[in-house]
Amino acid sequence: MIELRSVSKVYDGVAVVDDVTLTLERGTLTAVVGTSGSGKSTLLRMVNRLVEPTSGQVLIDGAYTAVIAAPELRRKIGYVIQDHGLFPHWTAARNIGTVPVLLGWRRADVRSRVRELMEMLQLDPDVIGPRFPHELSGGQAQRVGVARALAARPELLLMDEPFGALDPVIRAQAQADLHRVQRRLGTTVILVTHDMAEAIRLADRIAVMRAGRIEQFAPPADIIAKPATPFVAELLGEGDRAFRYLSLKPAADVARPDGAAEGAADGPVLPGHATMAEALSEMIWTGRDRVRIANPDGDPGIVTREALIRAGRPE
Amino acid sequence: MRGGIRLLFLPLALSPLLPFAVFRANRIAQGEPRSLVETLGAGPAALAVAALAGGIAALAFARRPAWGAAIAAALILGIVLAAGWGASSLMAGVPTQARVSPGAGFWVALVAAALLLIDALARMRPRPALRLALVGFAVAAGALLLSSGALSQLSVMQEYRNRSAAFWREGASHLWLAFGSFAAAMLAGVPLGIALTRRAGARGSVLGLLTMLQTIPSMALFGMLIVPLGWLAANLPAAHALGIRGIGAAPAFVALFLYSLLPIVANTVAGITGVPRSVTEAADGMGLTRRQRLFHVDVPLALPVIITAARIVLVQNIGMATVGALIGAGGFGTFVFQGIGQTATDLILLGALPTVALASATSAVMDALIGMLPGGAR
Amino acid sequence: MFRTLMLSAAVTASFAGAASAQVVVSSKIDTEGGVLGNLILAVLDHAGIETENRVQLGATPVVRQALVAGEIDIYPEYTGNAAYFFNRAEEPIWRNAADAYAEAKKLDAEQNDLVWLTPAPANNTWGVAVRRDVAEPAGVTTFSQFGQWVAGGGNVKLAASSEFVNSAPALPAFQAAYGFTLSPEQLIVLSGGDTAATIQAASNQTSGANAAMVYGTDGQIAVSNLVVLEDDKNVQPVYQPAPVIRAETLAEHPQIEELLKPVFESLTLETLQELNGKVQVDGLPAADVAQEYLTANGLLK
Repeated sequence: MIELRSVSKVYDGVAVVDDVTLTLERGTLTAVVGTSGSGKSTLLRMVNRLVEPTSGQVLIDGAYTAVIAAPELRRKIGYVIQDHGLFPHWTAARNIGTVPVLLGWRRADVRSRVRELMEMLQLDPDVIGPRFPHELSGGQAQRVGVARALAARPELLLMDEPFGALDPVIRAQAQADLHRVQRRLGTTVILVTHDMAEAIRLADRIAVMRAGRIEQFAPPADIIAKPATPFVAELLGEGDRAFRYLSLKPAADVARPDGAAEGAADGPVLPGHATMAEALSEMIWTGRDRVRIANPDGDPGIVTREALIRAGRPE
Repeated sequence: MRGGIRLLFLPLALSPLLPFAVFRANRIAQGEPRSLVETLGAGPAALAVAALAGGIAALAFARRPAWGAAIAAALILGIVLAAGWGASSLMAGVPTQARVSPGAGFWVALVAAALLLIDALARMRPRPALRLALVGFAVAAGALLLSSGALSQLSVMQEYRNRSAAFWREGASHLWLAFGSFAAAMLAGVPLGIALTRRAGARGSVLGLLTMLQTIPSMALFGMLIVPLGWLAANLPAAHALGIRGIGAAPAFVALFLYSLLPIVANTVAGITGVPRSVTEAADGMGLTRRQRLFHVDVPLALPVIITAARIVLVQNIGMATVGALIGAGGFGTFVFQGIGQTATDLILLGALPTVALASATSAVMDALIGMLPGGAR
Repeated sequence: MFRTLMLSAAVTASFAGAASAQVVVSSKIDTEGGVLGNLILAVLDHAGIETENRVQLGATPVVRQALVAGEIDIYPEYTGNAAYFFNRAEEPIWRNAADAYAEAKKLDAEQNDLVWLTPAPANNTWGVAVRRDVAEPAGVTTFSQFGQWVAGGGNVKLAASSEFVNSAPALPAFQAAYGFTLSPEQLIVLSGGDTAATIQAASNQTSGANAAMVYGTDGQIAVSNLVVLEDDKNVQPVYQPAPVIRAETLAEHPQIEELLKPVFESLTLETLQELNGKVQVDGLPAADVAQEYLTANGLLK
């Protein structure tokens, strides 16, 4: 559990982060969203003490971070930044092994950990491992950066615009990887981003920041359903709120057993984890008013257009 | 061999028309030119011209740069050996004060062949290890040639023979001056540069001071050091025991050290401040201590820039150490300045040629070392 | 405080005493510096005085500064240079050999605790040398005779640097003092030329040259068959070489004065030309030349 208690950072009399109090549950992914200059990066950097708070405290699992030596603290916290910051004079494998080596792991342990991480992030250890950063593609470098951050099995991972430098196709892949990895490892993640869609897609909770203060801290569905301030609403984009909302919910929630449908729908069967937005998109594109969706417990279910449209408006 | 470099065939081919050697009744008398035929005799001269023509033809048809390099190297060897042999034949039966030195034809041919060799080597694109090996090979070949006695009748070698003990003594002091002051400047300059990256406030004034030092003419700096170092030697027994004196090696060493500081400090600062911010940020964020970041990230990444400075400084020191002879520091400059005093060109060359050879070899070795740094660092 | 001062003074003094156990012999880096320095060194060594060899140490300012600072103990200097050491170059006193020597000796004794020992009877000054095959038939050995000869239509062609031809204390001063004028046709101006080039021109009769700008003791003069004209009206400052020694060193080794006296007295203009020539023309090491000269002339007793 990460607690920020009345944390402020003042530069030259200006509060970049202004009296922020947040509690983040273990194993969750929290996105900190805001425009540039909102203080979101500074907030993140106060967690691993790259920035020292002017006032307030940060606690990790009940321990004050201020009393732990900064390097020691940082070795327990993964850190991923936009330009990945890989050491250009070290190979990918050596980059990934940085923190385990600092912690004095045995060579063999470091080596097997590096392999494990590379395989988890779909990087071929024998091909990518010996390469230098300038020989990697943007997506590969980003994944090496994530692997490096995860190398010493940190319980907390800080990510500052980790996908900012990637093109859209690779970004979607990288986001999916992060989602998968986070679920699998149960790591607590704080993700700083300016992209609300990214936050909605990935986060368990979203903290919206503006001018150093938290405007709203809530699960994505609540943010969409009930934006606390006009700024939050503006950040969401008024036009496609419903689609964003639908994109959060699994279509299976409104599926009926196949038998209850008047006449079976033909066409492809959507995967079980498809969202309502995906189901609606499929209907529009194929000109149907109902689609089938896979059901692990039995026959495919049916999702109707009316059900989706009803679900798209929070009560 | 392709393109404009073929233009060098012309001076190479025409060089036999120029005087191949210069004969002088004594070491400072006016030189009298001697043609290739006069130097070698008609038969050997014809053979030499034929060999030269053969070499040019082989160069023209050499497809691989390596072949071109080998032929050019053979030409150079042939030209040098011909000069040595020619000197012996011209010196036969004349008084020992007489001197024979290479003439215009020799130099034209040698320079043309050397340029052809350099071009061929450049086109070979040798890897650093091969470059090191080539330098070693060239040094070994030169040493073998000089010690074989084949060149012993050339005027420079006669100067050498008259002062062979002094030559090696001065050579040792030259190396000590150039490399010792370089090492001291690295030991002081790199930490100073690192300290300056952490105190941006002091950076401007320190670099300004070092730049000012750099602009002082070497003779003036030597002169300026005599008084304070002399005072130290006279008043501090410890300083005297350390070999500090107002004249001799100490002021030259200190002057070279001071001249070396600016490139080393400036490049250390530039190298370390040039490390990308994302890299230093990542290093800090992963929990590297300041020391660990310095030794594992900052310095290794700044190394190519620092070594470039080291190369500049070493070559500069090797050249500038000659001036140290004017304040009794020894070194090859001793021969240069004694030669100037005696208007004896051969004696000047006895000091200048090893200095140039030393600087070239050092430069080539340092280049190869820069090339050997890990690939990602550049 | 006073105690500390006394102590440090005592330490310094004792240390200075230890340092001066060896007599540091030095000289200028040029050819004559090599010859004179090695002569001094050989004489002191032979007399059993412990020496340190710093011969051919550097240029004039370096050697001079080193002597004043006590870094070296003895080196040969030219009387005329004292004019520059004491910033009195314009004064006529330096043109008279005896006066110049006396003045240099007095000034250095007063201001620097240095002693000028017996000088050589040779004047290494800027002047003119004429081909022997021209000078002897014309009966010319002094500048006065040269002036009369030239004024009377003597056929001369002088090789000189443009500085020698144009600067007031040089050729113009000679012409004024000795009453002759060289026409442009009688001059071969080698711009930036040194004495090596002018001597070579006269020696080889390049462009008809038969006289050359020289320094009196140039080593090439003898082999080039030139005769140096005597500056009998003292137009140029006199440059007599003499050993200059620190008074402190001389007090410790008073015999040095008498040891060097006969050696320097033996060094006439022609002798120095010959010794310099052995180094410069024949390429012999200066130490060998000095040793051989001293032995051959019985100067090592």
